[in-house]
Formats: sequence, structure tokens, C-alpha cells
Amino acid sequence: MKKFFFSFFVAICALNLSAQTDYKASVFGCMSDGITLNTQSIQTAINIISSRGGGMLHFYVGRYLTGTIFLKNNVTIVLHEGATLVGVPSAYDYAGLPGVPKGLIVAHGQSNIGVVGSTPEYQTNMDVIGNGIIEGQGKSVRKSIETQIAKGYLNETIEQASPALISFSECTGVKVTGLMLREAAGDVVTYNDCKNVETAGLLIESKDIAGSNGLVFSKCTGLNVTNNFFNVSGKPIKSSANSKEVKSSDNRTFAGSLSKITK
Amino acid sequence: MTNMIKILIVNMILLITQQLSAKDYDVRDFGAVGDGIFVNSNIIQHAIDYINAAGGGRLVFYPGTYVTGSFYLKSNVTLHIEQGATLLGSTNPWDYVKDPHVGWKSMIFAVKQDNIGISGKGIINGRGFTTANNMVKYIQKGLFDDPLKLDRPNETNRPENIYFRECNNVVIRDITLKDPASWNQTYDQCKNLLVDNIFVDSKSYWNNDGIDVVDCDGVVIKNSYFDTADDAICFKSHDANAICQNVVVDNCTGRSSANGLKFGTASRGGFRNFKITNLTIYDTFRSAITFAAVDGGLIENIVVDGLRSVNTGNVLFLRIGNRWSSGKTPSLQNVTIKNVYAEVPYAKPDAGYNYEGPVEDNPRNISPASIIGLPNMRIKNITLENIEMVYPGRSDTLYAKVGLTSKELDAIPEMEKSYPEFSQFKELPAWGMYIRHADDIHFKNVTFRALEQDYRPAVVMDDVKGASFRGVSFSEPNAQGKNQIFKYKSSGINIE
Repeated sequence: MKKFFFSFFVAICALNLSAQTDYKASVFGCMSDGITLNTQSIQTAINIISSRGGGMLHFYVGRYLTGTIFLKNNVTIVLHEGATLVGVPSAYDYAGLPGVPKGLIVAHGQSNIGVVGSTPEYQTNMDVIGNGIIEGQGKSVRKSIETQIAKGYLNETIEQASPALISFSECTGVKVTGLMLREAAGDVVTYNDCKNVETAGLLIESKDIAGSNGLVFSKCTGLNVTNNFFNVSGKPIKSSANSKEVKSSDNRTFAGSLSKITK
Repeated sequence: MTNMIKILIVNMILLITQQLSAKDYDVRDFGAVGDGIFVNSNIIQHAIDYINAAGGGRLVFYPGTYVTGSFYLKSNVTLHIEQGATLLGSTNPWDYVKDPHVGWKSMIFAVKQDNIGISGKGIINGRGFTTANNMVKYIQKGLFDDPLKLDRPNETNRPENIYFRECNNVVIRDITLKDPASWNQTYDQCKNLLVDNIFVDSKSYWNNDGIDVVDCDGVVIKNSYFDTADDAICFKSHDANAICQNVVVDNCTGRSSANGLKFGTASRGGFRNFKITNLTIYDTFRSAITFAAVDGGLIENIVVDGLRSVNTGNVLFLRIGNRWSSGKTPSLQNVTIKNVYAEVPYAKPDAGYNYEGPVEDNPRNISPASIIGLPNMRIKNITLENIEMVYPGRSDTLYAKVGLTSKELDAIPEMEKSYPEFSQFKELPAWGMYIRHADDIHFKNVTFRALEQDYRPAVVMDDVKGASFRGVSFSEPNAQGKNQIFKYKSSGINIE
């Protein structure tokens, strides 16, 4: 356990060291009006920041409509108070990657990535939740998917077509903290085969779609799940048995505290 | 030539019948939103993929304004844009991709697809002015790598409306194409292309051509209208191993702040077997028709029958240059131009249009039509028949003068490597037609008319071997007895 905390500490330091360049989303043409589809602007921002060695992409107050964006090495998305990433209610604006389920924010094989709220206090204050929001518009997205499947235009199952809010696979050094995650069309956060993952200070609320699980993970090593509040239609936390070095504490639902997961 | 055209017409009829039997799909059924705001690229792409997989059909856009970035048309799919519907280009440069095979950006791509088309009386509007200027901002911020040569992003870094490459059986009918950020529509190495009854309004940013046909085989462009900042109807040859051939242009009208109809500038492989009939060019800054063989390719077997060139800065410019020839020898021969009426104005012909042509190559008086080869790369066998060219005259010797002495004529530069434009040589010594380094030039029933006096003769030939003038007449006020044809270092000149 001590060894794990040490390696976790090292990972956090590495995160902080390399992610120092700050970029405002507007530099790349992102619009906060809630109607401009920002997918390619955000993607371009991520590509450029990553190619320059990494940094923080800051979103300030406003609603930023987007489809799937792919997070790349050493890039952290920061959602400041009042900033909302809004999932576009259109089945064909979501993608996954081979072996990676669809998501609003997708990463595969990337290291040192994050999606964070601007508030750092969650580590010391149990009651603080994130300021930034990811709003999945799950009901509308799901409606679009169901319509397209019914018409025969979309040759996928509802489950395949429904994006999570965050879908990371084979990533190392992941931070998803201090955010409000709302209404996914599928599960909210999914990790597969990731290492050194911090998931903390999240308010996860996803009830519009039946069976929306809060946090789903498998084959992960070094997972810290702390101080999250779950209000979901599916399971708050769903894990397969093959993860290692999982620490969970202070996770709650309306029904009360969740029991600790220790592996 | 006639056989070629018959084959073309049969092919085109086949193309049209194929497209009539197609099944229709409403783009809104796939979730597209015609609100002028939502970016529909992914939805349109999915719809095209679906129709392609389902055996083909028309993707129909009903009235509404559908914003989109790049997408790819696939085999057996026609985009049908109904009257009242607009495909509106996103103004976000990041919404467009540069195709890795093509090396250009575009809204509508098709690469290696067959039996495709765009039809309907709707509009494709690239909103290129805004998109291009947005791109400039990103380049200036250092977010996109571009040298900003001439303070504009490279043509390949601005989206066209249409770029089709290596496609067979393409039909473009009835649509209005507006305001791209770069060239408007490119058909590159396509076979069997029909463009019929389209309306092009393309003057929103630099390099806004009307239509670019690059290294295509079997092309009909007819009944169409082009109002453009750059060349209106443009044939190009990008590939030294390819050629642009078997082309008919009929009943088209062009307006341009560059050239009306142009062969080149990129002319690596070449152009052959063209028939251009009933062409009208007006308010055009440069030449009604430019033939530029400057990159090693050939231009041959071209017939222009019926050209009306009104308020256009230059009537004809035939040029061999040696720009990017890389070992090949450019050639320009067997061109017949007949039934032409042309009026060249004294004032700037494109004044008042967006992106007016640049005032350059001064000082010069009104430039003549010209046929200008190189000493060892000669333009051959050009026939000019039933032509009337009206010039303003009014040349001012205090402003610019090139007289007829050997010293003055020899001082006209060859400009072998230069970009070809009718004005490149600055002042030329003729007011109607200047011919240099050319063989077998034939004039039949040609009238040169100057509205006011000009210090120059109508026609100057320098290093011409073989020319005939039959029924050629000249009209210039107060110029009785003036020798209107001047020969220099020329032989075999037959004046009847």
C-alpha cells in the first residue's frame, strides 16, 4: 500500500511538472454560445497542445457544444466554474476507437491526461464538488440513436452507439477530478486497462437513461476513487475483478456511503 | 473530333439515365438540421456511407440551410439540393480536412468513386471570405503552419467547395456554387464529367476560380454561368504523365478578374482535343482566352468557334514559356479560333467587382492580342477566322512607347521563366496583334478596328515563319496609308 501511494505521488508530480502551459479555448476558436458545434476546434486545440509537449486547455464560463474529442498525451482539459461541455444530441457525432467504447471524451494509449474542474480543494474538503460540468444530454442522444437504429440507418446496438462521458483505454497517468458529470447516454466514466488513475471530487448524476453506471473499470492498476457522489440509474461503481491497487474512500450516494473497495 | 463528341454525348445520356433510377433519401431522416447553425458533417457522411452501402441513391436536401465541413461523396450517390436548400460551409477552418491523397482542403470530396453527382437548384455556399480570414488569424497566432505568402493562406490550406479526384461518371447539374475560400470546384483526373446548367458566383477571396478541370478525359461543360474573382473556366494539367483531353465547352458565359477561359497555368502534361463553342466573356480583367504552355506540356487540336468578348481587357493570349518544364519541351499547335467578336475597353473592365484584378505591368498602353513563343519553342499552325476585334486606340507615347526599330523590338524580353499573362511584356509595339517566334499563322476575314488613333501598327510579327492574311481589314481614324502590318525577321508572309 505504501509503495502504491509513493508511485501515485510520483505520478501526480509528473502531471504537475509537464502540464504547465496554459491555453484558453477561445484561442482555437471554441465558442461558448451553446449552439456552435466545437468538436473540431477542441480537437485541434488538443492536437496542437499535445504536439507542443502538453499543457492545460482552459474552458471558462459558457456552454461548449461538442461531439467526440480524443484526448492526447500530456493534455488536461480544465473546466472552470460555469463552464459546461455539452454533448451534441446526434448519434453520428460520437465515435470510439477499435476496442474502445464510444465516449464524449475518448483516449486510447495516451499518458498524463486529465479532465478537471478548477477547484483544487476537493482533496481537503469533503463537501466540495467540481465547478466544471460535462452535460451528456443522454436522453436526447439516446433518442437520436434509437431513431436511427429504428430507421435501419445505424447498424449498431443501442449499447454500442451510446457514448459514455469519459472513455479511456490503455492510458497511464489519468486525472478526472473536481467535476460535475451529468446525464450520459451510456455509462458515465469508463476505464479499461489504465494505470495510475485518480477519480476524485466528482458529482456524478445520470438518471435519465436506465442502467447508466457511474464508474466502470476493468483491468486497471493503481486506481484512486475518492470523495465522489453518485446519483445514477445504474450501479455507482461497477468493476470487473481483474483490477489491482484500487483505493476507494468517501464515496457516497443518497442511500449513504458506499463500502470501500480494496483490492 | 466529331466522333469524340458523339461518344461524349452518348456517355452523358447514359450518365443521366443511371441517375434517374436512384432511390431518394431525405437527409433530415439521418438527423440533419437545416437551421443554419448546426454542423452536419458527420450526419451527412453517415448518410452517404449508408446510401453507398445500400446500393446507391440520392441524398436529398429539402429547403433549409445545412451547415457542414468536409465530407466524402461515395460511389453511386448523388447529392440533390432542392431549390430553397443550401449547403452552407462552416466558417470554422478546423471543420475542413486536407485530403492526404489530394493535398487540398474541400467541403465535398470524392476520391476514386464512380457514378456520383451533385444536382438540384439549391445552393452550395462556402462562405469562403470568413473561413479564409479565420484561417489567417490562426496562422498569425502560430496555430497553423503557413508562410502567408502574399499575406494569404496557401490555396491548399483553404477549402474549395468541391474536389473530385480520380472519379468516373460525374454529373454536376443545376446547382449554384458560391463563395469558396480557394478554387471553387476541381475535377482532377476524372473520366466522363458532365457539368450542365450551373451558376457560379465565386469572388469572395483570392484564387476563387469558377471551375478547374485538371487532367480529365471526356468532359462536357455547357449552359453554365461563371462570375469569378480568378479564372472563370480553367483547364489545368498538374501531372506531367497525364493530360486533359476530349473536352466540349458549349453555351457558357464567364466574368472574371483574371481570365475568361484558360489553359494552364499548370500545364505539365497538356491539353488536346477541345471544342469551345458559343462562349461569352464580359467585364473580364485579363484575357478572354489564355493558352499557356509553360510547364512542358502540349496544347493541340483546339477549336474555338463562337466567342463574344465584351469589355474584356485582352482578347487572346497564346504563350509558350519554360517555367517548370523539367526536361520536357512545351508545344502549342493546331488551334483554330473563329467567329469571334471582341471589344477591348480603355478603362478597367472589372472595376467595382470584389477582388478586382491587380493593376500591374505598367507602364503600358492597351495590350494587343498576342501569340508569343520562345526562339526555340515555337507556336505553330494557328488559324484566326471571321474575327472582329475592336480596340480603344488612344495610346500615349509619353506614357509608354515601343517603336519598330530593331533596337526596340529586340529589347522586348523573352521572359521564358515568368508567370504568363497578356500584360507581362509591358508595352508591346502593336495595337491589335503581336506575334513572335511562331510558324504558320493564318488570318482569314479578320477585322481590326481602333476607335481612336494609335501610334502603333495593328499587327507586328517578329520572327514569324509563314503567315497568311486573307480578307484582313483595318480601321483606325486618321490613319490613311498607315502600314498596319509590320514584319520583322519574318519570312513567308503572304498578304492578300
